[in-house]
Amino acid sequence: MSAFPGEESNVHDLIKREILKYADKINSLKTGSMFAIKTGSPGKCSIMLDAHIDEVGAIVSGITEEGFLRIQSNFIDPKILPGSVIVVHGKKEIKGVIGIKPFHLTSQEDLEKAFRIQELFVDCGLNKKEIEEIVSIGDSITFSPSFSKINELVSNKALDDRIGAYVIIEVFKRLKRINHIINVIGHFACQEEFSALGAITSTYVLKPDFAIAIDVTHASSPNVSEKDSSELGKGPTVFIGPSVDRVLNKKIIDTAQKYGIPFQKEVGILSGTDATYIQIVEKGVPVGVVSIPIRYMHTPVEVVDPQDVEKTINLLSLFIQEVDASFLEALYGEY
Amino acid sequence: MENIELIQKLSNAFGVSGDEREIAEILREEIKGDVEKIKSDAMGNLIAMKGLDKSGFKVMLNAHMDEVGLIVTFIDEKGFLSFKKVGGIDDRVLLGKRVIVGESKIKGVIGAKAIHLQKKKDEVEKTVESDIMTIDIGAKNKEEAEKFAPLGSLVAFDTKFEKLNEKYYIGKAFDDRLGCSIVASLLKYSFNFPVIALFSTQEEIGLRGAITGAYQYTPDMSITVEGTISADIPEVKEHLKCSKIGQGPVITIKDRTLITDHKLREKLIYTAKRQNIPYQFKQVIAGGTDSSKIQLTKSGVRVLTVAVPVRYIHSPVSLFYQDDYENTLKLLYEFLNSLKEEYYGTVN
Amino acid sequence: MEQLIEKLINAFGPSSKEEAVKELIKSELEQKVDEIREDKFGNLVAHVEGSGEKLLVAAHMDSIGVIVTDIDKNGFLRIGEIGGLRKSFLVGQRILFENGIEGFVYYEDKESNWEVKDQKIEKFFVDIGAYSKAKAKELVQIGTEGIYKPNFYKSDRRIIAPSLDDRIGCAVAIQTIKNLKKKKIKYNTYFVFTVQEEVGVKGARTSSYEIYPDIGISLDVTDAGDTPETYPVSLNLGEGPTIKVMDGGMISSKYVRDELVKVAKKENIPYQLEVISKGTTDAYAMQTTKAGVLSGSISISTRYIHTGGEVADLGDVENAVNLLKNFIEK
Repeated sequence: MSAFPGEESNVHDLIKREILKYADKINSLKTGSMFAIKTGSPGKCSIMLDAHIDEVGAIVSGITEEGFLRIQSNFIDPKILPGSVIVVHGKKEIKGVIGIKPFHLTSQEDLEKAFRIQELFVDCGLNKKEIEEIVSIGDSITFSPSFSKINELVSNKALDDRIGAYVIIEVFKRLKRINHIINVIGHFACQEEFSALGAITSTYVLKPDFAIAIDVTHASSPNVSEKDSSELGKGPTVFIGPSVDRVLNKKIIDTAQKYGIPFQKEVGILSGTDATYIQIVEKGVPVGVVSIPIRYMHTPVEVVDPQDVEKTINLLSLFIQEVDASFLEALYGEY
Repeated sequence: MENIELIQKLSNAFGVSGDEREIAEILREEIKGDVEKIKSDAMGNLIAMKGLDKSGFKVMLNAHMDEVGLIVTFIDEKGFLSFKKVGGIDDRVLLGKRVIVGESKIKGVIGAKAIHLQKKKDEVEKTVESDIMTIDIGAKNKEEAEKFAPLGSLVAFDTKFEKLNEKYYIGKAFDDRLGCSIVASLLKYSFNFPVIALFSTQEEIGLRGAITGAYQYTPDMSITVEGTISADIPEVKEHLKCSKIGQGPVITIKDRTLITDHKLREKLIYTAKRQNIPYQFKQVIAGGTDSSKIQLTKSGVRVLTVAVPVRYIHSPVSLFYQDDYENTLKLLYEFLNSLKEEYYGTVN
Repeated sequence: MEQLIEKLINAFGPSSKEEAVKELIKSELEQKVDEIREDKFGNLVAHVEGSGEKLLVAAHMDSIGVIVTDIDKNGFLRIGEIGGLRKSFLVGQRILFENGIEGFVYYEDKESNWEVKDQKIEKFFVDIGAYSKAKAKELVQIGTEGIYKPNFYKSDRRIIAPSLDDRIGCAVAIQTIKNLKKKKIKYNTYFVFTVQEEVGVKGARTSSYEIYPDIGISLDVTDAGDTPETYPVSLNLGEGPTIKVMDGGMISSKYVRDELVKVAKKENIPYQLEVISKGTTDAYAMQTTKAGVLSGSISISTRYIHTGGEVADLGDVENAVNLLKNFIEK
């Protein structure tokens, strides 16, 4: 499934199919976000679980005389592009290759310079006339799906943040068998990678009482120090910092400890997720962030540990179950 | 000096962005007898209101409760704490400083390698970057450190407020505890209009608290009271000093985030001239304030930013001059006292 | 349309001091709209009534400029930026201040190399021909604003002038209003001439909150890519107004973009699809208003934006008017 920011409706049907049996209401918004609601009992307050369904990619910014495509992207490190196979979403989907001058013809000096986005081209094997019939400037480009199981781990494009969407769907399935006093809104946000359009506008529409963003976070790998990252296999990370709610975080952590769910802590100033934007909509919304560690974010080969995903689903489902009157009072009692 | 006790209490209290509770408590105690309503919100803002029976035009007085500091991001096997900066801090003021860590307020030091041990010329002459600095809380190992300073603990500079000499004071967080003190003082008076005091949070990490505070309690005009850059020290060119100690309240025309309301500013200057209060302009376009967010609330709010000049903001020790503080308070009082409908109608 | 553009170029209006531009636009639109008023923030709102969805068309009145931050003992002025000045193009510019005073921008240079290195704003200064601080203070004050001196030149179909950003957008809006056939209007349209776009897209944000349209379209300029050895952007002068796909701040609503393309194709209006990576317009502020506004943009490809000599094609401007008019009409 491909959904460059702005084209999230591509994924709506799939999500709808999966979540239909478990939600009381489902709706798509004109911005490209969609949401599903499961009412609680008594259902006086609501929590919004937010995951974004757009993925990183590029846009066709020009077509050369020879039929190659120029591209523009604010999301991807151009260094990973040479040698990739990508998908161009024109009138129909076509594949293309981002290739570079052969090694044999490249000077030593040039070998040391990283490519910048404006120096790269997409080769679809068509001439100008042929390609213009299918592709135009403004068409989006996403990585070719590249699912692989590497030992126990899973690798693919767009785990950021489809894995979060998957978590929400699975939580909804669990909710069928759980008693929960609050309404649960599953928000599948558009354009998180760019302008947080979904987070900002949907929060205005849905007016949740509090929210948890489910996103991904960096996991350690060679050259990524453990100071800057979490680890695969050690459970979801809870974001700690000045821009998330203290009381909400404590409850999440208490739940994890009560049920023996391993978790990690990620400390920062702003979380870099939808939560940062949700928190300041209208008169403010208490927010938390629970993230799934992944390696190689924003590349076609993001890697996740399925066990971490399972633990995240458990944590969130149990958290919702644990929300009681005294927690809600503590959350709002400060006011 | 007026308000000296309040300023001292506020300056010494712990309120790094993200946990401003202690500051809110002090302010709440201070103002509770002077206002009609006190509220809080999801961001931890403290909002106080008075004159609610008065009609028409609402005026907001705003100051932020948070100060810059650090946050513990990692603890190594030996119990040393790595950190990130909360708010903008020059790495060069951090070495060899005392800090207070976490909710249990334990003491720590940001260690610096002794100069005797610094070998190459490089090491002596190069800035040490904050991401390799560590805080030492005297823990024996990781477990002990985690008990007293868990991940995510906020860290403030350990600086006591004191009088430097005749009229100069030093301490931490004058940006913006001075503003908080001035707003709290102004609440002791009654004016011709409803007043909403917004003591905001998370200003240093993106002017965030002001966004939700002003949305919920939207005024027609607003004044942000700050502690602003005064770089009137040697080696700084004349036109880059931004503001000067001793020359009175600093009025912002433009900073990196906004242009203040021209008509209201003219009225403010007129008041200063009429009451013989010295004033100056912020002469470098630097920094940003809550007023830029309040300005864009709903269909717009007319805003001003006025500040006490402070040397060395965003560092462990800042300095201000008594007369500047008092003149800022006086200017705002006189301005508010003389505000009439005709000055705050529409832009026309 | 040249005369209209020239009049707009000659009006003084850096961010927050747009009065002269406002007055000019008001006089151009008198009698031609159902209502014209100034809103709380200072934006000029011209309402053309129609049934159907609410449309907000925004063009910003403010231009970039400079502001006096200091006057030294010899009468030289120090300046700060209003909006994004191109510092490599600042030296040698003639500045016009709000009270008619003019000055030239120079640069501190101990080596006397006549080269502008290290382009920090604090190294620039303005010479207004004053020989002392006292003399200078008679002419300007701290806070006085200035612009690149207006200088309109037309060469066949091309215009060279500062402040095409965004007086050209204002011209498109004004001409569209003049050309609209009231009976055919299918949107309830608000033409908002916004303030303070260059310093944070401010007027558009508050106006969009107040009006809360269903659709928002901004009229602005965008970087052309048709000069020698320049950053590759597929936008050329003379090939039609641009319909925005993506810029540095937002992705246009697909609905708005497709509707504009439909209109262009139907009416045989040349157009270009715009994909740029830096810079944004009023549409960015409109898009995230309340529950969201479907937003897009029609722009004019312009060379050398934010310098003393921006260049655009009159044909593109006329086609932009055509495109917008046909979008609004049935």
